[in-house]
Amino acid sequence: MTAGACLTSDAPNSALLDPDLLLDRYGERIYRLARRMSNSDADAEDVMQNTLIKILRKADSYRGESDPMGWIYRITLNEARELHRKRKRRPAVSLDALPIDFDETQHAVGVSDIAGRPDKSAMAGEIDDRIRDAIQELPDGYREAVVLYDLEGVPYAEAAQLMGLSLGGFKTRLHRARLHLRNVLERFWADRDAATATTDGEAKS
Amino acid sequence: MNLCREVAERLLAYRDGELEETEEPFIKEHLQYCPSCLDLLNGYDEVCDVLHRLQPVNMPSGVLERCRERLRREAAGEPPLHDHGDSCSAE
Repeated sequence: MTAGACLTSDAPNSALLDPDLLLDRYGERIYRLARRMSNSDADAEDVMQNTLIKILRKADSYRGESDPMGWIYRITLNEARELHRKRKRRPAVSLDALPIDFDETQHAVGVSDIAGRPDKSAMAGEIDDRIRDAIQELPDGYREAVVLYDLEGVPYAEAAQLMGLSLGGFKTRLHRARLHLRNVLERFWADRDAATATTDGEAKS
Repeated sequence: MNLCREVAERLLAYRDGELEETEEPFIKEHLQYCPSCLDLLNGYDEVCDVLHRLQPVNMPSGVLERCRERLRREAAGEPPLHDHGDSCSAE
């Protein structure tokens, strides 16, 4: 799916100038992206409103492709970043703490027992919450890579363009973000194993 | 290990179906005898499985109406009804 694939092919740019058409055609997608880039419904609504106002103000000068969804996505991402900056939020995970592209030491050591993990479906809600929180803790560019590709289905090349990155730069961010999320899952299972061991130990004593 | 590095650099695109077809046999062959690289791939799969099943985003009621009112006021040159504290400044 491309950023514009879900648009009707004849979407006229004039929709950008008409508040009702703008909302009807693009409102839900703007909100969806804004929400995935934000910590709360209220922040997502702020991002959405600011994005819509920007679009309305700039629509006159828009000379892009007939499908403006990429342009709209870019404005939404910028507004989400701006709100983060205004809130003075720092990512909970620093760039230095993210996994490096290829860690020879780590690579040689461990193979985790993903298939052997018990009762994954029963833990789905908790796992989802942990991952959702972890996405919000990522630095902007890493969160954007995951949100655009893994959640919004925007292809590599298009996502890289939206983020102003080379294809290689985009892949590096997606790679490191996913490695971080994988580490979050590993910690989740380790915590769960530790809790289970404690419970078992108490039951036996 | 150098081979693993080469595979790791391509594994993301391989997993996502974005790798050049000509490079796929090299990756597939390597994965058959390298548990560490296979583990990396399984890790990607595990993360992507969770990401893909995350609940869809639903817009809360009232958002569209408030946005519509904000846009209407903007189009009419009227100030916003209330300041969110994050409103766009005039350019």
